[in-house]
Amino acid sequence: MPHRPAKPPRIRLAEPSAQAKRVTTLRTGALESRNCTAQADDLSLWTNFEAMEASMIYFLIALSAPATLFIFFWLWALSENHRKIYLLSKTRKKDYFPIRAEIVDQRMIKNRFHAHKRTWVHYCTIYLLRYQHEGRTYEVQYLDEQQVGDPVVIEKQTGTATLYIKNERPADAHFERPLKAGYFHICLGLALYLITWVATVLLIQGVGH
Amino acid sequence: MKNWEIALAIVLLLILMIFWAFFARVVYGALTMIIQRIKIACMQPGTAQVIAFRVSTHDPEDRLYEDARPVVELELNCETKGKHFHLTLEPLTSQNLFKALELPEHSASCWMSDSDWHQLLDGRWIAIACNPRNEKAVLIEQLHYSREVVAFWLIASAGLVTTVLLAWYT
Repeated sequence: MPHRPAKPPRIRLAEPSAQAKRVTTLRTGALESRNCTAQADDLSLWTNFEAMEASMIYFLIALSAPATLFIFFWLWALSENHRKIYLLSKTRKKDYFPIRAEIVDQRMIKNRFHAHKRTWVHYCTIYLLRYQHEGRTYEVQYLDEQQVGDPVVIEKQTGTATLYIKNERPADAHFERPLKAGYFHICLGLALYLITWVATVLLIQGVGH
Repeated sequence: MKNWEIALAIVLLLILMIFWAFFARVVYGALTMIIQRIKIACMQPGTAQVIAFRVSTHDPEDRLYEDARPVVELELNCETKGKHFHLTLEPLTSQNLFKALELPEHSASCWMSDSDWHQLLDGRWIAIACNPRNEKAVLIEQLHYSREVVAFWLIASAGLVTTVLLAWYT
């Protein structure tokens, strides 16, 4: 390829670039505002709304907090009532039966307790329990926390424990007696649900209307 | 007005403002929780294979764990809609892990040896719910629970809105 001489660089000196123009205008604007001759549509003197936009949502939340909280609470109550009836009707057909298991082994592990904003770490006993059902042997573990209100599972005198299992899943043992809802409970749930809805209508409409 | 009355009014206003801030905090928390639940409810159910796992027992004094039963971290290989990605699940308690694997919840994890864990988890498929867009995943049980909660919230809010509309226009 034949050698070409390099092109001379193009030089423009006539007009300044757009950036330079903008800078110049801004400068003049600043000068004008310093001389108190700013125009009415110059927003730079007013509040910075763009910066406020981010914090406005928190302000709105704070402003509507009590009403929103009440509405949330009401919605939560309605949905929770509904969910409870659903769960009750699901547990209607479950039939668990108690079974006796023997303690095979026990170990100490650390466990954390909470009581009214305070926390303690204790050593607790974890038991290995073994039980038999229809000729097969199953093993589960149970962490004995010994908290108030916990079910009494372990009987230390006899070295046994009471578990609840179901015929369909004998390996899946429960330590508490699982809830089996009666028709009475379902009716109670329905009544509560209806009462909440009636209260909703009364709250919205007023009692006398 | 006397001076002590003005002081009392200012104190009462301050207390009111503190309550107001507390309400706002609770509302903000509730909103965040609902948004989180909706996000989980919108995830897609899928399956993933366990590539790696780590079993560890934590001291409950580090404030993240309730007790010193084994905690399992899983690395999963997910595939949804032709997209392939790896992710690490949050540390799972052994009870939650067993539930996800459709095993009895109270299986004796404290008495399991390394070979038992390998036998249980090596190459195992697990049901998860994932969002392939930002590559996040939770266990399938969380998805079911979130969907249930969101459905009942929707029913309740729809009922409330209907009641308000009926009250206004009848």
